[in-house]
Amino acid sequence: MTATTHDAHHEGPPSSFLQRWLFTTNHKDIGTLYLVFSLAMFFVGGLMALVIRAELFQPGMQLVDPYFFNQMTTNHALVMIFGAVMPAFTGLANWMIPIMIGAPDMALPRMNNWSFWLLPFAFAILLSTMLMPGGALAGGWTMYPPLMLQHGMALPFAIFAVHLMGISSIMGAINVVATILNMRAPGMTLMKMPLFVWAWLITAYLLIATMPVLAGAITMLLTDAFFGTHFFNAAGGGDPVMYQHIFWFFGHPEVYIMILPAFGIISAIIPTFSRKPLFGYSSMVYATASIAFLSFIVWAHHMFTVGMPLSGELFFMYATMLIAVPTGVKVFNWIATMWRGSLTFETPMLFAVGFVVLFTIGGFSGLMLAISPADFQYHDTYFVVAHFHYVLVTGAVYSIIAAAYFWLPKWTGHMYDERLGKLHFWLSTIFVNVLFFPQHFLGLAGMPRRIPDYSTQFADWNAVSTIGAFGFGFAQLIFLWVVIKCVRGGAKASDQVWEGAHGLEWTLSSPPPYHSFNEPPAIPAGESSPR
Amino acid sequence: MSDNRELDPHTRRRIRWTVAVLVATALGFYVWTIVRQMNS
Repeated sequence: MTATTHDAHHEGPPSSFLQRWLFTTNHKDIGTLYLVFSLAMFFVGGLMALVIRAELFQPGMQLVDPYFFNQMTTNHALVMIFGAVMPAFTGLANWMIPIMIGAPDMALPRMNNWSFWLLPFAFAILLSTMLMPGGALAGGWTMYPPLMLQHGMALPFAIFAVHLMGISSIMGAINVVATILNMRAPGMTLMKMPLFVWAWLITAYLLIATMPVLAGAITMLLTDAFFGTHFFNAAGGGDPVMYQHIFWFFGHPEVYIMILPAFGIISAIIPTFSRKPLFGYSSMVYATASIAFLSFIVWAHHMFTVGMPLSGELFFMYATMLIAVPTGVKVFNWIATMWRGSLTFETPMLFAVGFVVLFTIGGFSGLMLAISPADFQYHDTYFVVAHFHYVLVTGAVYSIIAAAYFWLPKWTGHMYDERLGKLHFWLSTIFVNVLFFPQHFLGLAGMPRRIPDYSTQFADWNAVSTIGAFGFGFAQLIFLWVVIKCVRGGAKASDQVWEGAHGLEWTLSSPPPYHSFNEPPAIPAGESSPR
Repeated sequence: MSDNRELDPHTRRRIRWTVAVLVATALGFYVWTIVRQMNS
């Protein structure tokens, strides 16, 4: 690739606020928009979680009616998955992929703008359903028929909103693939790319393959509800279980869409603060690809209890357990990277190490859930809630926070407040375990998920869990303050920022120029991967 | 690319082909998901 340049390339951002943020085609600005949006949605979804936990603080009905409680569980999931975690990773991809591979921008900058600006409208529609007669969706984020077909006005609006989110994700993913495959600097071969870029390339393929399947499923839900079709209506010859198969064909790869970029982030941070190259770079690439492949053939472990042939149960059980192998490769590679390294524990490293330990707990409980006969006991209990929150909060969210601390000095040109960052880590890590670990006990004791009231035998651990939830929620306000403080000022960050940092992004100034790599950077032929 | 910069024709062509294949893949998965249920 050759980059043609002329004087206009060195311009800064447009001076008008609207021109800059509404019409921007700059990957850094769009990355910032995604990240700010995702942080806002993180707090919206977090407030919904606090409503759930406040109601569950004691047995009996205290604060909200059961229907509103169900709206909270449903929309907490939709907001956190599609509004917080996925846009955060897309924001990181927008900011970092071009400057990691030496590209001047994303391949399709106008589409990039459109991908982002669909999201605020999608979530305005989704959240507005809470004000509609009958309220928002309350049948769970999985939107299973026939329950979901009994909804009133909210259903078509929510389905339209999820379609918009899907279109946004697919366009973002197409942009990532087109950028990585066509815009790398000369000499930046695939096996020299940073693992964050590799992880995102594979994630983008997962998105392109699975988001249309979700769109297809909810389109059929829509036609069943309003156009007289019977795709999922048993009385009309349809099959409601088929919806579950289609949904989870999307839903399980979706889990990896939310964790593969996290693996890429951790693979950037641990070598930096270990001051060693990543152990087993190529095995990390192959492990990521293996996990992505396996994610397509394990979906029915989410629905062991619907009743399927024994051979089906066995296949999905063993295929699920197989995922532990490439995941184990990754965990051991991170540990091997740290082994005998010159370790320091700045905030990004604390969150990265926290990720490795706590995500692995989520992985182990996932293995327990994969055991089909045991899953009949665990299914739809708080054990499942504990499992996926360890994966998604101490996994995906921890990696996003780690990435924010890691790259904030590069983005803003200022160092963040390390003391507050460490306080944020320790409070988060203590409270997140107080919040989610007792939910394992509740689930094993038989407490069902998605209920606003419960038997008194579950009272103690629910009270503990709620205390953890409020502690974790307030700890995130520290993060908000650290980010605002860092954006507004602070000690000047050097170009390299971290002593052990390697890669093209660290050769740019902090903050990087508005337009970077107008001329492709030179990458020496023999140089190893930039980690 | 940001509006004020241009890519060489070869890269532009490659990007167009990449996008065409990926859009076709996405649309294919969408249509296949629905059509498959119609036939069952």
